[in-house]
Amino acid sequence: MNKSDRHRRVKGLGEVSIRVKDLDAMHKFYEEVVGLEVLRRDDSFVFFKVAEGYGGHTQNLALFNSTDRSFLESKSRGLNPAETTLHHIALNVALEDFESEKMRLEGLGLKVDATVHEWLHVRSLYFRDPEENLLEFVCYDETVR
Amino acid sequence: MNKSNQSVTGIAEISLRVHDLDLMRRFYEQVIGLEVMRENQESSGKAIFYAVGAGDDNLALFEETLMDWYTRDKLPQIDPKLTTLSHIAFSIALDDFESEKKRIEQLGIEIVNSGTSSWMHARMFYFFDPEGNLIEFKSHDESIR
Repeated sequence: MNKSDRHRRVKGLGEVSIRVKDLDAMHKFYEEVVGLEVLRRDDSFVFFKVAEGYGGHTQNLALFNSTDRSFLESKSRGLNPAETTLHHIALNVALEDFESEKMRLEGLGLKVDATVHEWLHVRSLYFRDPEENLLEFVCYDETVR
Repeated sequence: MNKSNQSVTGIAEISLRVHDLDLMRRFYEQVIGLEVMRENQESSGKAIFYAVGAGDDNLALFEETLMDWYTRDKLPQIDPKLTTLSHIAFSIALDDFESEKKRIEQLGIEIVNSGTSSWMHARMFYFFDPEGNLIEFKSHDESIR
């Protein structure tokens, strides 16, 4: 398979979904702190719309109760964020919102680590959700070299 | 919080912690078909960054041993059973849906589930990567109601 063929198949990230212990608490955090729009809430899951996505489909972030193991019978009901296969999830924010988002998150009592990644020319804010998943707010800043 | 107040404009990156980077990179390059953007070799391990589709979406693989200040709370080994990741969905074109499903099957990879979602107007199928992360290929399909 050549490179252009491969390139055509996957068009984008459609969804990232994580397993959670306390769906209500995590729902509240992702809606109110991360600031995402709820697309659908059910007993065992909640979907948030992040962006318009590809081909008419929204790009979503979803939370699933860890006791719901549909297609995931091999997983434990328990979770351990120290041993997770998830390294982090990065979410785009605008450069003009970067400082105000940092202040807003800190004002909510979160520990926020700010850094830059020179090779990507981005600024990043790292913080943790209530179940210790690492989140990043990232924005492009061409002055970062 | 209404939609216009949403600061987050997209999922920039999803990063996975992996045990066997060579095995996992073959899968994400040859099966999923992602293009390498950059490889970072650090003293504690290696990270590979991939472009996903034509936009700015990225996927990254981080060796489990790779530690940094922002992952200091992680253990240097993963346990996929205890992962906080539920699944990652890649968007594919509806036109490619059946051929992609057939291609994955012909590679000897088990399709663990396939179906449709009426509320998302989408069709999807699921399979596992070599370290047990659930992958979804998803297409928007207006005819599904």
